[in-house]
Amino acid sequence: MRGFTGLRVIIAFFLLLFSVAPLFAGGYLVYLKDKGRQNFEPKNFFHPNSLQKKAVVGLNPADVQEWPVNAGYLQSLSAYSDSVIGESRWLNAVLLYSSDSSGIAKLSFVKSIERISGKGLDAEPAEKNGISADIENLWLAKLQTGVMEDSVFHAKGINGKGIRIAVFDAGFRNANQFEGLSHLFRNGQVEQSIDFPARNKNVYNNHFHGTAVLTCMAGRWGDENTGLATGATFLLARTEYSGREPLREEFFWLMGAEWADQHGADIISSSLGYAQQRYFYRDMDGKKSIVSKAAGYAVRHGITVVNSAGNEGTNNWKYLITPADNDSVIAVGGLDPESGFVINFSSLGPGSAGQLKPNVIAAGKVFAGKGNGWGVIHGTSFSCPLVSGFIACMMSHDTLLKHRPMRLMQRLHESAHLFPYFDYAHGYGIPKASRFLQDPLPGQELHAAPEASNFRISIRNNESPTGSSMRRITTEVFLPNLKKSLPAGWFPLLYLSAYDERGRMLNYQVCRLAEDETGKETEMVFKVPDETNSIRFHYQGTTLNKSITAR
Amino acid sequence: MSKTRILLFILFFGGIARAQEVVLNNTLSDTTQKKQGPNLKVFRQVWVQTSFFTPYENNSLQKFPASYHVGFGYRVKYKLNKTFSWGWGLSYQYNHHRLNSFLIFPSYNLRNVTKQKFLQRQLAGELYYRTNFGKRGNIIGRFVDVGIAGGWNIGNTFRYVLDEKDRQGNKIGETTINTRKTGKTLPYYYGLTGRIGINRIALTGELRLSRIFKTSENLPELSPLRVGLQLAI
Repeated sequence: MRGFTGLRVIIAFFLLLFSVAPLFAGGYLVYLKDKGRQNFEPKNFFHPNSLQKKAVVGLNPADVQEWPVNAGYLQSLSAYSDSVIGESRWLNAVLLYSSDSSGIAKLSFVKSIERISGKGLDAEPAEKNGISADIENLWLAKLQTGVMEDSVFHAKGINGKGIRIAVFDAGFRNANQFEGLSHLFRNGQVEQSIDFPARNKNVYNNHFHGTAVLTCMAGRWGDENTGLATGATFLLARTEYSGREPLREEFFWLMGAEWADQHGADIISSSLGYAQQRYFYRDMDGKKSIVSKAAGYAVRHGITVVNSAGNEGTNNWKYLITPADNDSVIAVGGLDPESGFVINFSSLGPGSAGQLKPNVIAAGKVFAGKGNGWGVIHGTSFSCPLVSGFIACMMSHDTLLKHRPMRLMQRLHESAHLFPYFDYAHGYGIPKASRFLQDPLPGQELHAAPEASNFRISIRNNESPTGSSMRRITTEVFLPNLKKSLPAGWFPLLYLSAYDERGRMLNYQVCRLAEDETGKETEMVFKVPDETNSIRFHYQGTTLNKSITAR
Repeated sequence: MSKTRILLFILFFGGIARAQEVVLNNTLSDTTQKKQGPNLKVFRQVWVQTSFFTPYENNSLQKFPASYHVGFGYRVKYKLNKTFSWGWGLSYQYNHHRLNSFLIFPSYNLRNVTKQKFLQRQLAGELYYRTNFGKRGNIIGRFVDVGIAGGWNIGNTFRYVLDEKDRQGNKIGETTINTRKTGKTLPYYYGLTGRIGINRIALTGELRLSRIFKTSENLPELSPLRVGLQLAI
């Protein structure tokens, strides 16, 4: 008797285990063969700016790829699905949940069907900590824009006017009522909004993250601008649940990119990203994820895509997140405004295919508004809109850059304070208005301060201790004392990166220099990997290369 | 000041004067692919769990849910492919069977017994097979485990709590009697295990297939089935 009951319990137990398995079933990405017959009129579908952009990049706006997904196909698919999440005209695909995938596969217009995931995974806006109100606010508000030399742009009346920025986020709570953004709504600068998850146009509920991001692009705190693009036009899209469904969220990001293209966006500013919930580091090659592909499509349509590098620097993931991994996307790392070098949580490069990431950095600790007040907030989420604001200013100064994302990226790199020096924490450094304009105001520096050219370094000794994988480099350095040109609290920094004979970066370092180490000849010792063939040094705007004799 | 002290002084302060402060130092060999991780070739984790014995047969013997289990362990998982893995684990288990008021074991002639418990400590091993669901990155994700477990009963205690009463029958205190090494229990156990989990949290169940007491003792069996929650650290 006991055996019989026990058997029943065993069967029940395992039936329970396997009966929950279907709950884990996921959605389907259904690719369609064609777009059927449609009367597609590009002038009615696209914003004039989008049409101009396509003309510049050589895309035919009437091309079938630009057509929406066929409405009749969508209707047929909805009969087989539990819910249709959305559709993509670029992929000609529909994301849906269905319990009859075999029925869908048999439809004549279906090309292929891909089961992609289930529910319940997790992704978050790339925000580090909560908001803490107060103090040092003025200092921080000035610094977050000041390090990019906002005054140089503003003195020339450059504020991003005429540039259309699509902002993707998890919500813009109270942005339409927040005094720090009231000028945008008063002047009609928020032109469009869309909430993809809720399928409506109200983006002013849900998460405050987007509101804080927007203030870092175009906010005003009293007389102080907290972002550089106060004159730009904004398209706000909620593409993210503040909850837990990255699959849908990635697809919403794709839909957002298509929507941005339709409405003539020049820039997509996305403080969102996806990492280990769906991917491995090896997937960060700029090609695997849906959002990375979507970002690539957007760039091909002449839109500059700016994305946070991520806040994974101190956790197991460590590296950048997607879509920042796409080599056409401008990945923005975080700067510690108190020290002048990378903030510890900022995600690092390279991408898994060796992409040079991040591209640039901006303040990763900012003074921002969250819809019901102002406060200090951390995250590369806020570095991203600061750079997006800078890019809007670049575009409004040089309108040819509006439709040439890769040219713009190159100009952005050249405008950054470390260029041509690069490392995987700082990218090319902080974008500087004077470097971009090549026309500094009196008292402003263009490139390095003249005294910085006195920076010199000679290698005196180079030894590899037996059994060690590191090489000890003894140098004689003259570092001009330029501390007076730095923001309060910052110390002069010496950057160095070690390369092997094939030119691959092996190691990078940042050294903080004490006051007494500058303005005179100093002996410095560095430890670099044994395979080092050359070292690149950067100090205050001057970059020097030194070869090392291989052992 | 000796020469040694002078030399140390020069080395110490000379070193400070020359040493730059390295605030960032990253070596790119760190980018090599790792083999160990939640969804990589090998994954190790430590877990704690608590569960409750459930009514089975002889339900009147035990109190539910006062009969519970706690345990902790170490688990290793080897990935076979995107969906399947297998692994093994070691654990320490503590089973606390709270019994009803009438005397069951051993048949001592005790009076005023207010509580009876059978407590068991085990060292266990497990082999399990894991099925994962859905696309995921380097996270544990959603899974179902089925496995077999077995181990040694390293401690068996019959515990009785008796009221102490005065001549008028008033309670004046309590006495606890622990009886160990009675020779009535089997030295081993075995059973089936199962888990349904998302990332570090799992609903866990174990069905004991072996007996607790030797057949020759003719003692009633206690609930072999428990379900609970496991948290991996």
